[in-house]
Amino acid sequence: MREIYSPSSEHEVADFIKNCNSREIPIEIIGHNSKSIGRLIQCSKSLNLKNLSGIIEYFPEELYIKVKSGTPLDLIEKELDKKNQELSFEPSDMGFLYNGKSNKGSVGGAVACNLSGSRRFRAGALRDHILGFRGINGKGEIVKSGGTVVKNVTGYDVSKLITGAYGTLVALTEIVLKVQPKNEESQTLLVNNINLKKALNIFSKSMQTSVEISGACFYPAKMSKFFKLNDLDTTTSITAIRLEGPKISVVERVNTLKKLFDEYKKTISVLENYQSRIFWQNTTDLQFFNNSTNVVVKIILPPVNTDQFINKFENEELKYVVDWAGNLIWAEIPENDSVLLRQLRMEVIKLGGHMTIIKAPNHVRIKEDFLTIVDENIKVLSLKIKESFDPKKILNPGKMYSGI
Amino acid sequence: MDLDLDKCYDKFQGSNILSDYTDDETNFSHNWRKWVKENHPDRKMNIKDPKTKQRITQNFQEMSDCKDKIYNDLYRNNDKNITNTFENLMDEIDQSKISKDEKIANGIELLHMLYNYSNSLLEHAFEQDDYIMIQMVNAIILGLILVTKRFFKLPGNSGSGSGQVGGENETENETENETGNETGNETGNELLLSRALSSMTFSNPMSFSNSSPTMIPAGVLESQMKQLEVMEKMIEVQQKQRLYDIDIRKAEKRLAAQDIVNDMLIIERDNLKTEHNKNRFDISNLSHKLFVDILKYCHENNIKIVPRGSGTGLSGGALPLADCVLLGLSKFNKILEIDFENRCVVTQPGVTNLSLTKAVEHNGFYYAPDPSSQIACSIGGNIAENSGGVHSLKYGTTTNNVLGVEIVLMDGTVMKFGGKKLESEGYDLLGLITGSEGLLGVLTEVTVKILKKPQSVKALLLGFQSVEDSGQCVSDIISGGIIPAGMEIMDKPLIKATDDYAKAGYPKDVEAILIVELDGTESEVNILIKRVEEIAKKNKSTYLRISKNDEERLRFWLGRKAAFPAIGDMSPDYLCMDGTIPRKKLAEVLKEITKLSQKHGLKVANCFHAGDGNLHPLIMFDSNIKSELKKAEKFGADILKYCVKVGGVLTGEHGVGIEKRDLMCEMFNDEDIQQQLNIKQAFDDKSLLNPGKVYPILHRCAEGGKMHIHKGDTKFKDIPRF
Repeated sequence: MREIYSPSSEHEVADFIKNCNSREIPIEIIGHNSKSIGRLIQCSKSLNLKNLSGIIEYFPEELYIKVKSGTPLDLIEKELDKKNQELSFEPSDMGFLYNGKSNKGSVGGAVACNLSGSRRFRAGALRDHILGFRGINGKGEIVKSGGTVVKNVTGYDVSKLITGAYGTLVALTEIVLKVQPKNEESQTLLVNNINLKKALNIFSKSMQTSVEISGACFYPAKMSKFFKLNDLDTTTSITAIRLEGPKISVVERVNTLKKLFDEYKKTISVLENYQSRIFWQNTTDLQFFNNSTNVVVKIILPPVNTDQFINKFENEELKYVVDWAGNLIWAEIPENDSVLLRQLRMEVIKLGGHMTIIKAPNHVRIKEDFLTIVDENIKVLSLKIKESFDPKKILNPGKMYSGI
Repeated sequence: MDLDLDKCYDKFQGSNILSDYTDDETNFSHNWRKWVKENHPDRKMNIKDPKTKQRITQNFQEMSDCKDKIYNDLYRNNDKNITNTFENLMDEIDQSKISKDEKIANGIELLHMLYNYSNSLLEHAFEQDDYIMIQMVNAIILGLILVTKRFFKLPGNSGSGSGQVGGENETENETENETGNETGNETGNELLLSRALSSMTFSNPMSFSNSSPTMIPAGVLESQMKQLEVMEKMIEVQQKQRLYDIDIRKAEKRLAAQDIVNDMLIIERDNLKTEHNKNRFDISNLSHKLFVDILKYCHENNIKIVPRGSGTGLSGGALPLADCVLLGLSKFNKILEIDFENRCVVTQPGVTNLSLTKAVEHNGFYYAPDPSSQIACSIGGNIAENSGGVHSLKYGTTTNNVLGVEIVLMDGTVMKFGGKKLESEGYDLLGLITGSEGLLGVLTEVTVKILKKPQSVKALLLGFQSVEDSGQCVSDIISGGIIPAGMEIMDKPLIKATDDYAKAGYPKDVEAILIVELDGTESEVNILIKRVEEIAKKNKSTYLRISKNDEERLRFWLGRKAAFPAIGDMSPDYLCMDGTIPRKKLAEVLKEITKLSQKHGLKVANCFHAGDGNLHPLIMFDSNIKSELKKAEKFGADILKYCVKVGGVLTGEHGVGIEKRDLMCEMFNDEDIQQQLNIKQAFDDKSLLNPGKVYPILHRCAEGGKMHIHKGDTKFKDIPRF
């Protein structure tokens, strides 16, 4: 029977961890339990941080918000929305992927997983938006780094280190995030019925102009059936480019791109503000893999290799969507096909990228590597870093790599 | 010939780079003075035998005569000739018909002579940063080592418990015993060897005495021989891989606070230097293997390293230290690949920031972080300090623009973090390295993001009757949903200084100037300009001008970019501080700075990266007036403490380095610092890389248990603690 402890203050967290440290009891750290991500771990104790919730400081004119780590992400976004601001890295609502319904989880969880949405290739990932944090390390000590300002070189940038660390270094208690003004208008340029190669070409060309696109994704035919937008033709492949900003500017830039891609004028269309936002929200939230029971992976590659990669697995039962202007491939494969999984991984490594298993049934989470390890030296260094925070390895042991 | 001992002392001071090897922690200069006082009260030492004197003088003359030849040979990478010269000299002495002890005495004198010679060259070389000279001196030192070894390959050395000397080769039949050795032959020769070694490594001030020898303490000879070996090895490594810039500097002078100020002023000099040395050695064709070998060797032998890019840093992060090897990477400056498809550039770390932009300009791209020193600062240094620049509000700092690095750790492990792909898995090691101030590893390759230039860039020059108004205007612009490309505020003293200096045409009757730069498409920029105009008017701006063209826009910036030189013109010296504060606290902090200015009695001018809250107070002082430097430092520290107090941080872009090291405790408590030190341990277990920077030293000692505190004396007493 797993013991779950739900403290309400930073001190309680620290004491709890200190205690577990002295008795060498491993702890699983939980926010809102919205994502069953990472390797499957078994710990006798569970630390639930959902009661560490609340906005500590929010100064719109200073472009930051300081929150407790268990605060629900959508509560934060609602507050920001009131002042016409947002988290420009577009955190995904992974609830759809894992459970078929919305659950954005806690802000601490988002930070621990470094999950960013479609705008990431333009606006930066979550790790580019974290300004500071407070947390408890494996010894039960309260550690902090960073502050509330964007320019900060005081000591090591530990905020970056703990982002995407899946709770293996610290149990977060407070987080400071950078916020940006919300974009006035969003429009999406759509090109239907072209193949991936042409789509990637379009992305590349757009990014070599001064038009500033903030979303670039590709849905092969059949992947976009779940969309329910009036102006969206889901019978063929969809290539989508998002433009945001003041309305006049957006309209002008959309026209610039239309002219640039005149050769596709027969299948070009535009989604206006309302539909455009829904389109990208759905893409960011991985609605195309809603409640998947298979294995879903996140593949990051240099964009010039994306087409080559997809072509290699054309004959397999590979469902995929390309995002981040070709830098990211979301793919789903049948849950029992471990051969295909390994093949994918090897090819990704060959092409200079990496593959993360985002969702998988438990038996896969036990067997397969969650992350891609190419360089043993990095694993050795990672172990040393882990030990510098958590020498007894009690925080989420084995969540990222086996043995760390 | 007389050796002036004081001159010798001055020359040799600080040249002992191997102090880590001696167990003896006694203070060198104290011992030296004591020994001189006891043994040579007249502070001069005579060479007794006139014949020897003559011979040595002759040889020296020969050496002097062929100095140019040596120089030329070395220039053409042919320093074998120097060793040959030594061999010849040695042979001469060897074959001469004098007694063995006389030979030994000659040998010692020769060593002294050559050491003098080499040190005068060394001094000159360090002053000029003349790399070739340094190479030459190294060759000479190798020659000295050779001389020593040859002369002291003496048979039958029983060694009074202090190890073998040379080898037990052919037995010589000479048993003459002259030149005033009072003790037996064996110990006498060992003593002489010890002296010779000390004269080269200078760990033991007994070196110069030819008369009244005393017993060598056990173990000293051994450790000296070991030092000699290490020195030889190091020089071998250097000779083998001659094409890099390993600089063993005498750092005593440079450790003075002066140099942190002078560091900025030598931006020009450093830049000129690179141009000057352009044709000498081209190390850009070498791979990271070079650095792997160097770091591995140093790791095995516990030698500390300070990596240095262009040396334009403003916090002393790359400041050379007396007991560290300086690894200069500014010549490692080739751009390896420009990839417009993937919108990135791969370069070696010595490439300057501006040349990166210039390399992609032709296609309308640029590299966004643009610190003011961009003409000289290196991209490797930018990463180490997470440099910003005027445009960092909109485009981020270096950490948001780096895609990957190749790094060599202190033990020689090579790793790649990131690359051309957009992000990495696992711990964000790339993010950790950025801003780590050279403490975690040495960069050998860098991949950065490049952006397309915006279609249109325009600027507004706004004047206000109070700093509060300008600050409020900035807040309103941001709350209004506008993120300009750049925003800078200058206060009245700075406006006056820059206007006098750069004739930028700033309004003379305002208390504060705000420059707002906007970029994007033409229509977007025009919309934003109108909005900013409204906000400025709402905040009672008394002066408003919009740039009509690029030329006018650059003229707005002219004054701001000339801020530092303008102050440099006005004041004999200045300290530039770097603290970041919440924007809305600007007025409050400036008021406090005015108060502190009166308290410390020094003038100050302020410029402010209003976009991101980074404040640069420029404290003016005159280092010729005693105590003004200390006052300026204290003033600076007070400002930074206040920045932290109002919710800001110690440094926005200059880094902690040495300058703010002891202020770290204002922002972090023991546990925070210990956590960061633990991270350092994971990368550099022996703490050999860039020691003494960023983290307060006392913490490191006490916790790490690595430093032996002898009788309460801390090591490196001479390193000033600010």
